[in-house]
Formats: sequence, structure tokens, C-alpha cells
Amino acid sequence: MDDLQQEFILETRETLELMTAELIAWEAHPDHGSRLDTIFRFFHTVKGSAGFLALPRFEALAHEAENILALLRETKKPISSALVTAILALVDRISGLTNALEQDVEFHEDDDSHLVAQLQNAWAAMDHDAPTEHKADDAGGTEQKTETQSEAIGIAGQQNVARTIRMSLTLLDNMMNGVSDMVLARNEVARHIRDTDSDPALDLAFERLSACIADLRESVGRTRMQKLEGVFAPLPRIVRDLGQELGKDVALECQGNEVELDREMIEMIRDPLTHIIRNSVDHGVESTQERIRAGKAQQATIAIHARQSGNHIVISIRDDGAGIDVDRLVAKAIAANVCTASEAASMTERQKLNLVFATGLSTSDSVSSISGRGVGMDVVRSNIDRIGGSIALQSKSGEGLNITIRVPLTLTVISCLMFSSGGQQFAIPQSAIREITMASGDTVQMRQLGDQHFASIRGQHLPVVGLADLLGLSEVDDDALEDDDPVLMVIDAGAGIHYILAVDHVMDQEDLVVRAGAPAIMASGIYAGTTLPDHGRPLLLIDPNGVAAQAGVSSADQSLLDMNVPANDTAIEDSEDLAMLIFQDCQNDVRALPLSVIERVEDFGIEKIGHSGGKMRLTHDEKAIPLYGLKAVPDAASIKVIKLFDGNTAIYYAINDIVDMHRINRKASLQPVGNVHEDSAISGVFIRDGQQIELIDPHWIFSQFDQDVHRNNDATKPICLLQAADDGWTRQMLAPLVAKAGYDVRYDLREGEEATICIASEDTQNTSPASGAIIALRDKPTNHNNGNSVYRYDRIGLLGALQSHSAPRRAGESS
Amino acid sequence: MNTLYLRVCLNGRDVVFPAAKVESVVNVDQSVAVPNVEPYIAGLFAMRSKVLTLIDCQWFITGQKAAIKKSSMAVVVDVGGHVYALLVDAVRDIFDTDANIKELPSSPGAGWETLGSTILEENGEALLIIEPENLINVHQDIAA
Repeated sequence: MDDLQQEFILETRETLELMTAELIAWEAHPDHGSRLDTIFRFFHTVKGSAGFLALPRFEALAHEAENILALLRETKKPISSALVTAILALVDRISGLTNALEQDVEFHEDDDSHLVAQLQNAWAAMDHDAPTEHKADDAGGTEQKTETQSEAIGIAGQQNVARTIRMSLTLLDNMMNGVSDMVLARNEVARHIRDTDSDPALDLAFERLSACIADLRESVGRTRMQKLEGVFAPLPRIVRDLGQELGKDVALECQGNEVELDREMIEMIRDPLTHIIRNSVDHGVESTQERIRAGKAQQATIAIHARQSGNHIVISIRDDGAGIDVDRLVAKAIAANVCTASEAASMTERQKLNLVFATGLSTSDSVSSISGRGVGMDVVRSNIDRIGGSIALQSKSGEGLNITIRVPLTLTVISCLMFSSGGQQFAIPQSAIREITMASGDTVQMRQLGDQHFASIRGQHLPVVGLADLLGLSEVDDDALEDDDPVLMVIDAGAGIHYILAVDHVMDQEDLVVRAGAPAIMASGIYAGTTLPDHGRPLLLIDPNGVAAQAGVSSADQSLLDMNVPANDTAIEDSEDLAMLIFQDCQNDVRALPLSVIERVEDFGIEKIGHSGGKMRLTHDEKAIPLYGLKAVPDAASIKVIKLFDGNTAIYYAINDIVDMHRINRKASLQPVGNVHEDSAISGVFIRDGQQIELIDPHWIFSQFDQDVHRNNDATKPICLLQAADDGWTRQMLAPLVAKAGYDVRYDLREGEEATICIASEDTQNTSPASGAIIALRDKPTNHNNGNSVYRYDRIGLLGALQSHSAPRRAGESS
Repeated sequence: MNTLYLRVCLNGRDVVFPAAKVESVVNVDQSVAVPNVEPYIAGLFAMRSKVLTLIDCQWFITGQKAAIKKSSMAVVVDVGGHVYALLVDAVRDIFDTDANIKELPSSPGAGWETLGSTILEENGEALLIIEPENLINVHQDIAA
């Protein structure tokens, strides 16, 4: 019996949420036959189950609602909003009763009669006010037809629903922990394998195990995903109730119900989203009279769209209200001492708009019961910042406001940068880092003002926070900033707080599973949590915002510093500067390519794109040329194609759209990623507006092309001799890379052959045959012998060395 | 009714933990310091895939931080969903007894009072019963 009751509670609660949305949609479009059916069916089900489980109050309430709905269905009267309110009240009561039933307590009110009376009054009022507003009788016939049709669709739809089961969250968390344990155990095995003589068979088996574990980890991660539907479901009700209270007619449009997000993340965005919607209805949307005066549609629209973009979810909330009155906002900011009048005068439009996020500022003139109590957009922003997300505004005066929120897919796995400071390791969320540079770099000047260190990077002055000093880790060496060469991380802590965190060394980037630390640790405010990276020693995750607070860096003295100021003329033009084209590729990911290799971007009609010979090809100049970046013929009339040119060969790369041009400092901003294990097309990652963008390795694309063209043409390739060929690493890791770089890989030479290049390890290079150039490899990243050796995982360096030797041959063989 | 207790040595004295509150006993070999927090937080260390917070019990008694040695023992407890490891000098044994729990007859000294408020009489010996929660939810008291 208990099981049955539990089932009833869960089912009722689930349908209740959907029901609220249905009712409100129905109110907006009262003729919709299938909606009325759904609502009717819900009450009918509740009535049936409640009768079976002997729950008389549920039964009675459902019975009343069912009666009225049945009458409504018969008479085909348009529904009044009073009736919807009355039915919503019934829904609320059923919801309350369900909660009470679950917790096994008495419901605080034991009389439902006034609800029933409200319902009957609403019905009676409709009966009088709208006498026999029958649609023409023939219309009734067609309506009957659509009803049966939609019912048929409904049944077919139900059969296609993927089968699911309910499962306890504890079990899921246990699974997640189990997988984390497994990953750690895997790492330990990996360490042992590295230490012993490698056996290719074991390596292969281990690779497979690693791949399986990675897959499993991803699947288990996915079990934590929930649909956004749960967050969106209460919003129509909020909009409706608020709209009625304020006398505004507002329609809410939700798209992207099915987008999935980690369930912890769902909880974190629920409040900010609700707040934004309330704000929109209260301040954004004008009253009906004002809208008519402005020549707008009488009904205002708030549209929420959610979509997944890479490993982020983008939620945009757009209203067609009055937008933000920037002048009034600035006036308020000056009045509230957020900024001075002269500062305001020099602000860009965007900076002015961002004043909305300043603490203690509200755009509404009067404090209403709904919003505008000072708990405003600053809280929304800090909530979103806390989960590593970002929020952006676009306002058009008189036309509306568009708010875009980006949040990472999951809260538990955060992309972190690991670094050391004061002899201890820490991690920091990658999303907070704008730029990494060395204090000794050409573009940086360190200054001291009183006790505070400052650094100017390309004309921007930012306070420097020495983490070791802040944490009391460097008591001996007090002025570490001046003596050593610290690594400077430009941090965007959100809410307009920018500063530089000085640390000793930056180590590695890793996706880490972050958990909240013990309350006593979190109380310090400096840490965002604890994590366990692959090396198995716990790490503390630094909270960029907390560090700013602890170090006394506030947004007040630098809210005017715009991090996006382009390098000014006095700054030395760095030869490491890299100009890039940022684009959205055909998988909708935003990526970049160096501008130097791009010849032009062209539009091609879709009829010129085809799939032949196992590849996407572009018909151009009567030839079928391989087209990269595309998996299938897209569903569009034409497509943009980037033409890459290396001086000899042209390559075509399909994209969705161009986003922007951007210039970064290769040394400071580009983080190399990936390793030689993977056939990676990405040469690095950089951060632009808080978004990670992958830089595509053009060399990789050209090497792919090279394979296509020269696959059966080994004779023309230069020969590369690999020494220590019995070592598994050489055959499995090095050989494919060398082959891809356009060489004929040999482990020994035939009579009369000469190797163009020879690759040997650092300590055996002296014994190599004297023919051709030699590339020496070393095992450690640091170069102890000061020789000309290349670190064996320095893919760029290795490819560079290979390329420099093959270049003359290349130029000669091109057609 | 008999109750299980874990007998450990803390700052040279024997005390007991109610075994029901103890998850396990571990060897702490490698720990990571947590700078800028309350002094009784001795660090973090990893037990399988969990990150445990090390609590320095001795600090409550002597005000001195305990040195973490390679062979340091700790009692693992779960308080409020977080797992803690309470550093002790040594773990003696586990025993069950039907002896009654008594209020402290007199003050055992300032530091000890934080750790527990009841004793157990076993074979003529009075053993302070440690309440793990007292060692963890202290920051409010200290701040006050």
C-alpha cells in the first residue's frame, strides 16, 4: 500500500507541474481541444487513484474540477481567467495535500469548501456573462475531428517515449564515486607501467582499459543530467500571476525544454532565472496603455531560449519591453556613488549598461512587492559567476532587453589550471583566467604604490595579489614579487573585479571533479572546494572572488578598467602576436584559425558539395577537392568555405559562420593542449570574453591533405630513419607522427638509400649513421644538457624540426 | 545493552569514541596543508577517491599543533555529510561494555572539556567519551 501511495505522490507531483503550464497555455489559446483533454484527464486520473487509495479530499477536489471541465467541454464556452485562477487554486491545494501526504502530516487547512465555491462562482459568472457563445455548429464538427486526431498523435507519441526508471540519487552518487575511484586506480597502474619496461601488448590493453573507463565516466556523468523543463515549468505561472497583479498582458515563450544540465547546476540557475523573469515582467515590460501608445502589440512577449553550445548551455531571455534607460541608470549610479559623473562621461555604452550589475542599484523608481528591493542583478550576476558562468546584456531602448546567460554543463567537473605557490599546489577555475604572462615579459611593468604592487600590461594597470603572501606561505621571502620571476595570471573574478594573481609556476590543465570542502575550510572564503587530481594528492581550488575580497581588491577602484581595450600604440608590437579568424564551425563550435594561412572565405552553393570517395568534396574548377570540417551535406542553400593556402597547396575548410577577428599574444594567451597520443587538430586554447576557443592547427589540416594526396606515393617522400626501433614508444607514438609529417618512416636503410633525417634519443645520437640531419629527443621537458634536443612530447617543436628539413623537398614536388 | 567503543590515546591519555560514530581508522601518510584556516584544521588527505579533512585533536588540549608523521593514525568520522579524520596518538582497541555513561564528575581541564562532556567507567578507569561533532562545529564558538 505504501508503495502505491508513493507512486501516486510522485506521479501527481510530476503531472501537477506540467498541468500548471498547460492551464496557462490553455488560457492564452482557449480553443485548443487537446489541452482541455489533457487537463481533464489529469483530474480524472487523480480522482480514480485517490478513490482507489481512499483519499477522499483528493477525490472530492478532482471531482469538482472534472465536473466543471466536463461542462466546459460540452458547452464549448471560452474560458474566463477567473475560472483558470480557481482551477489553479485547486491545483495548488492538491499539491499542498500531496506534500502533506508524503511527509505524513495533517494539512494545515482542513476545509476545501471555499475553493469549490470559488470554482462554482467562476463558472456561474461565465454562464451569465457569456451566454451561449457557441461557435457555429459546423465548426463544432471540425473541432471534433481535430480532437480525435490529436488524441491519435498523443497515443503514437507515448509509444515512442524512451523507457526510463526511477533511481535513488544516493545510488547515482555512489556510482560517481566508484568511477572516480576507478580513475585513481587507473592512474596508479599507469604510474607503475611507466616505471617498468614497457610491453606493447600491455600498453595496448591498458589503453583500451583507459578508454573504457573514460567512456564509463562520461556515461555516469550523464546520469546526473536533468532537463531544463523542471526550471521552466513554474515560469508561466509566475508570469501569469505577476502580469495579473500588475495589469500587464504578458506571454511567455519557452524553448529548449529538452536541453540537459547537471542537476546541481539546475538548482543553481533556478533563482537567477526566476529573478530575471520577475524583473522583466515588473520593469522591462510596459503597461498595456504604454504599449498601445508606443505602437506595439498589446500583449508583451518574454521569450526564453536554451541551447547547448560546446560544453556550455546558453540561455537567452528576451523581452520586447522598453529596454534599459541607460541615461537614467547612469544618473542613478552617480546618485548611489557607484561612479562619479566624470567617470560616467568616459564610459562606453556597454560599460554603462553593465552598471545594472553594480551593488545596491535598482532601475525602478519605486520599490514594488515583486522586485526592486536592492536585491537585484548584482546577486543574479554573482550567483552565475559562482558557478563559472557569465551574463551579458543587450538593450535597445524602446525595443527590449536581451539577457544571455552562459553556464558550464556541469558544476562537478571544472576545467582547472593547476599551479604552485609558496611550495604548495593549488588549482583555479580556467574560466576566471583571462591571460597568463611572466612578470619578466616585455609587455609587463611591475610597479609598487605604497604597499600595493601593480602591474601594467599593455597599458592596463591592475593590482597584483601574491597568493603566497596572502596565504602566509612565504614568511621568509617577503618580497618574492621583486626577487623572482612569478607567473602572472590576469583574473576576471566577475562583478567587474580584475586583478593579477602572482604565483610561482603554472603546471597543468585538467578537468577536475570538484567537491565542496568542509565548512571550516569554506569559511575562510578563499577556497571554492577541494579536488583530487590524477596524481592522487588533494588540491585546494582557489575562489577568484574570495581571493579578491581577502586581498581587499574591490571593483570600485577599477570598474572602469575595460579589459578589452586593444593594445595601445606605445606598447611594443610583439612578434609573438597572432591574428586569428574566429568562426563557428559546422558542429556549431566556435574555433579559430591563424589569419596568416587564410586566403579568403567564399560562399559555395550546396549543389557543389558532395560525398564521394569516403570524403566530403567540393566541386571547384572542374575538380573534386577534399573539403574539411564537414561530415555530411548540410541542410542549407549555400555554405561558407575558408580557403587555406600554405604557398603551394590550397585547402578548403567548411564553416557555419564568421564570428570575429581577434589578436592574441601567442606566448601569454595561448595554452597548448592535447598531446601526441591523440590525432588532435587543435594546437591550443585561448580565452576570449570568458569563452574557451580552440585554435585549429593548420599544419594538421595540411598533413591530412598530404595523406590524401600522397598516400600511395612513398617514393617521393623523404626518408626518416628512426633509431631505437625496438622501443614501443618509437613505433607506436613517434612513427605515426613522422609519417603524418610527410616522411617515409624506416627503421633501417636499404643499400644505397640515404635518410633525409634521423631521429634518435639524446643519449644514443652519437652512434647514429652520419647521413642526413639528426633530431635528438630527450625524455624530460627541461633541457639539462643545453643541447639542441627536443622534448619528445613537444609536438610543435618536433614537427617544426621535421618540417624545416623537409621544406626544400616540399617546394620542389608541388604541382 | 552493550555499546561498542573505540579506545584511542590522545595527548598521552586514553579516551574513547562511540564506535557507531566511527567509519574507520586510517594511517595518514601524506597530507596537504590548508593555509589561512582555523589552526585545528591540520590539512587534507585522500582516502580512495575521497578528500578528508584532518582535524588536529591535540590543538584543542594543548594549543600546540601536532606534527603529522608517516605513521600518524586518525579516526574517520562523517559529520554533516563531510568526512573528517581526527588525528590521535595511537589506536588501542575496540571493546563493548554495558557500563553506564556518567556526567563529568569534575572538570578535566579546559581543553578536554571541548572534546566531550561524559565519561565511561571501565575496570575502574574513567574514560572521556569524545564527541566528534564538538571538534568540527567549533568555529562559531571560537569566533564568538
